[in-house]
Amino acid sequence: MAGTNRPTGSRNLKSYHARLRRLSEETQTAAVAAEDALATVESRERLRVARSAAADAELREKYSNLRSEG
Amino acid sequence: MPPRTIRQARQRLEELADSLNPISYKRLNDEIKAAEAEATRTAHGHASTKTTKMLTDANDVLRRLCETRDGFKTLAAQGKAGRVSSKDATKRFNDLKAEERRLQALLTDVEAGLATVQAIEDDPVAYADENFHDRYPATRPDFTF
Repeated sequence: MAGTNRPTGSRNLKSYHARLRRLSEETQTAAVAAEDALATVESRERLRVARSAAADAELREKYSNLRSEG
Repeated sequence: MPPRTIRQARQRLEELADSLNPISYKRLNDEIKAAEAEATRTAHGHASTKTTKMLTDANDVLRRLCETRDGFKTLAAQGKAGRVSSKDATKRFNDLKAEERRLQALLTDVEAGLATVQAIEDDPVAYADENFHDRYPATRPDFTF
């Protein structure tokens, strides 16, 4: 009896499965790009914070020098 | 007569074959064929129900995968353009990764379901024997031998 009146269920599912697999791979690729972008954002933010801290320190030093001169 | 699975009945008929006249052999063989036809109907019905449910689930997974992929792409573009804060980007990334993990698990379920449907289609009688007749003797066909 095997194979008689074979339904199309697995054909439909296989086709869906192939689409899901492709989408899953695309999602993984997009996730890697997003992770890279996240690293860039974090690095940019660290740099901004560091620059801001450096600028603050410079200002404090100038102010301190002015006070000691004045 | 002890209730037999179709496989057991087929085996028993082969054992009896030499002692049976052609008419008796045909009668018993017809019993097995009828049981196989019934088992095939049941197994195909099972596959059809499972396929319908799985296609609905797969459609949901497909939609969510598209959203997740697009979410990652948008985040990547906004991150590169500097249009998102580190805190916001981290939260969105973690949420998307969590959804991606859930979808991977659902994809594994789809694969398992596909394997089951293929097994039914490849040999519905064996499927019925293994999943119904072996497990629940009350469902075994009513053979006269």
